[in-house]
Amino acid sequence: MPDPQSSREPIDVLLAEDAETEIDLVRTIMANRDGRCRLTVVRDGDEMMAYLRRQGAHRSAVRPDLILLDLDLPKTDWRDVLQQVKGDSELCVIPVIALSASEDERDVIDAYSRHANGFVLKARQADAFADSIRTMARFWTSVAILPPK
Amino acid sequence: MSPAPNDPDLIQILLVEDSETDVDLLREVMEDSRIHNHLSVVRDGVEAMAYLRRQGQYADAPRPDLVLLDLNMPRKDGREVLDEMKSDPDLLHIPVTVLTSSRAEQDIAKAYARHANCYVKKPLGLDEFSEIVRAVEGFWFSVVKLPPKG
Repeated sequence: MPDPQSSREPIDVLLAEDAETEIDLVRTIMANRDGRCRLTVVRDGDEMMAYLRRQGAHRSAVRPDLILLDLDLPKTDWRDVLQQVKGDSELCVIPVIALSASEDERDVIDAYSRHANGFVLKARQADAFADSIRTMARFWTSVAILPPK
Repeated sequence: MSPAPNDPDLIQILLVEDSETDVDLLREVMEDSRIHNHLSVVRDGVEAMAYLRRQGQYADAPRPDLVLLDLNMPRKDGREVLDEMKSDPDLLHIPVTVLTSSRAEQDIAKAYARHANCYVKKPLGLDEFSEIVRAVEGFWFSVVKLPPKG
C-alpha cells in the first residue's frame, strides 16, 4: 500500500517490555520501517515513568510519539502506570497501545476504560505476533496522525 | 440481503458525520469490505449521544465496536461527543477514531487529550479514502482486541 504520508518525520516509539525475545522482534520490525521508527526500550513501569518525566539517567530523553506498554512488566501495576500517563496533562496525548498475552476480557475493558488507545494481544506464535506489530507500526507511522511534539 | 443489524457476529460501526459525500464514500468502502460489518450513520453529536445511550428512536441500537467521529458538525460537535463519551462509565471503553479533514495541530492534540483512540485525516479522493479506511479496518478489526460486546 502506498504511504499517504511517507514524507513524515521519523516517530519515536517507547517500548516498555522485559521479555528479550519480544524486544528483539519489535526492534527488528521497527528497524525495517525505513528509519521511520526510532525505538527506545524500558524494562519496567518505574523506568518508563522516569523516562517520560526525564528524570535521573533519562534527563535527555525524547518525548515518544507512541508507547507500547506490556501489561505484564516486573514490579509494575499496569493500571497505575496507565493512570499516571493518561492523568498527566502533558503526557496524556501520547497514544498508548497495551500489549498483553492475556485474553481476559476484564483487562481489555479496564485498559480501554483507563484510556489505552488500543489493546493488542500477543499471539503465541512469533509470526502472528510479528504480523500484529508490523500492521500496528504501519498504521501509526503512515495512517494515524500523531499528536504534535 | 443485508445481514440483520443485531447479529452478534457483526462488527458494528457508528459513523458520526454530517457530510453526505463522506457518508456515501464510507458506505461504499464498507460495503466492499472483507469485514462482516454493519454501518450505522448519525448526522451530528446530539444524535450520536442518543444512539449511544439508546434513547428515543435508538432504543434498540446495537453497541458499536468502533465509532468514527467527525469533529466539525452542527448542534453538537465531535469534541463534545468525545468529552461526553469518555466521561461516561458505560461508554468510555468504546474506541473512537476521529476522522476529520482538519489537520490543525490544536485539533489533533485536543482530540488525543480528550482520549480519542486515534486521529485520522480524511483524504480527498475515493481511492485514497478507500486506502485509509482499509488501514483503519486492518488495525481495529484485525490487530486490535476490541472490548467485548455487552
